[in-house]
Amino acid sequence: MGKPVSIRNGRPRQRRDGLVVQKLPEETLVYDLERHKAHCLEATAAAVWQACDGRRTVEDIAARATTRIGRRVPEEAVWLALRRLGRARLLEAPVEGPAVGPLTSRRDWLKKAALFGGLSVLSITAPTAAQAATCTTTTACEGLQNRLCTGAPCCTTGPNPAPPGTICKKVGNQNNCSCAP
Amino acid sequence: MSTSREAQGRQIGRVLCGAWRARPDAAGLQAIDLLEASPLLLRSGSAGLAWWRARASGVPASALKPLHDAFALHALHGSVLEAKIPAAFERLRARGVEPLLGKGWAVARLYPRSGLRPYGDVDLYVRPRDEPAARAALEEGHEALPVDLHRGLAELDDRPFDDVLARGPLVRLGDAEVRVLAPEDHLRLLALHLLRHGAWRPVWLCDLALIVETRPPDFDWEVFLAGDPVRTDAAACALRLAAELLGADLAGAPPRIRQRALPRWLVPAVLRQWSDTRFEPHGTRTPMAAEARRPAPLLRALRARWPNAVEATVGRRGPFNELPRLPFQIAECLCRTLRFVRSPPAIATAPER
Repeated sequence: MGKPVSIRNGRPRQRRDGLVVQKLPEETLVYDLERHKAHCLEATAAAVWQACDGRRTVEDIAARATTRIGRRVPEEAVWLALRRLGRARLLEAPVEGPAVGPLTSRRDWLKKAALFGGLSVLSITAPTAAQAATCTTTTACEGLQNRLCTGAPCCTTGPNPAPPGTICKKVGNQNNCSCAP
Repeated sequence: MSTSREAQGRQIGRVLCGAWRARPDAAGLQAIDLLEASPLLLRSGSAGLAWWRARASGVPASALKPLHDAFALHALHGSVLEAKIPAAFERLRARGVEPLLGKGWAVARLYPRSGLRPYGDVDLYVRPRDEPAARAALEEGHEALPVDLHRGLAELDDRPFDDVLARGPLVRLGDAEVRVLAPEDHLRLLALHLLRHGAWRPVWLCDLALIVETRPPDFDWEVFLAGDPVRTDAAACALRLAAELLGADLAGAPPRIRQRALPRWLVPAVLRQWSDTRFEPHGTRTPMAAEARRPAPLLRALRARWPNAVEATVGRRGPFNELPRLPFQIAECLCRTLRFVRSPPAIATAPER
């Protein structure tokens, strides 16, 4: 393996602030409260992410992930997962990957790593209709009185979309509700 | 005669058949049903359940992605809400108010996976006399809690609140203990709530199927059936609907539920409601007070509020029999209009729940 680049002290650290995490048996779901983006981490990517404590090296992370998922996780796979986690802003510092040697192209090791599987870090988009089941439109929210604000997420689609991640809540000491951030 | 809208509703029923179970039967799922019903499943908050059943089927993962994404978002949103429930109980208990948690998390927790049953707020029920103190407690503090506070138990006001409270078990939620409705009370409340809102969300029918099939051995059907006989019969019809449309297993239920013949209008009314793409759910409509000021959208607003046969029957406390439903629908519409005209502005702009 070549030397890693763009990684603080060679020991990646999982971002913790501003994230909502839901661990499920097959995947880990993460919602970024700052960027209002949701991600779905497959098993290996989740195991790598959980092992990023800022103290472990890539080699240590591979060993830890191997123990967690019950099959060997090669370092190439860890690098690929780190790169994807970094792109999703789920690490404190971005990771670009190892510097490759003269006999190994970047594409080759990416291929090799991708074959391992379980490394996806998928962005989740809000299906428009799915939101309709539980969201309050901006117009409906602004028509309410503060004691009756629904507290439900505001609809980010439709004729008067609210900013993502907002809820219908009361505004300061005023007597009404708002979808404002 | 079956219409195309009823056929669409049937598709939803076929996709969700048994989807609440820990190991739903994916083999019986038709890919064409799933793909065609997906927009309506997403719209009604049933996408997670559809994904849960379909994930072991041969349907390509790319076709399931929108359903999975909806499930994932519901799971994340649910975990955000779940984290706020203990704080709501703490605030109310500090004022000497013991609330009951119903619907939402209280039923979502029974599903095999979080995210399968979406919910948008935390439904807390308090004694009517405790309502002012509870509301004041919830308004305290810096953080607004997404609580839908209910003054008493509207659907269960034919039984004493204190009896319902006494039956409600404490369940663990993280480090806290929260009081939920007993399964008998919860099943009746969910059945009547479903009917009161015209059964528009298929997932509500899944709730009934889930509670019936996972009920504890000491589940007391007499408690479920006690109270106003008209409501009891309506609740029995709701359970029969779950069996008819989603394949819920009513084994062990009393004969008056298992053998209740559904009126001929009921199933088509529910199927048409499930496939109504123009329907605006309660809580997402522009308040009528705002619509009334603008003549142009008024007709659309009135159409959106035309009660379907199910909610009109429940709203007028009518029997679930073979008589035509139009008189109930007209009566319900008139009553709503009268209520709106008579109510003061502050109430007229309240959310429609």
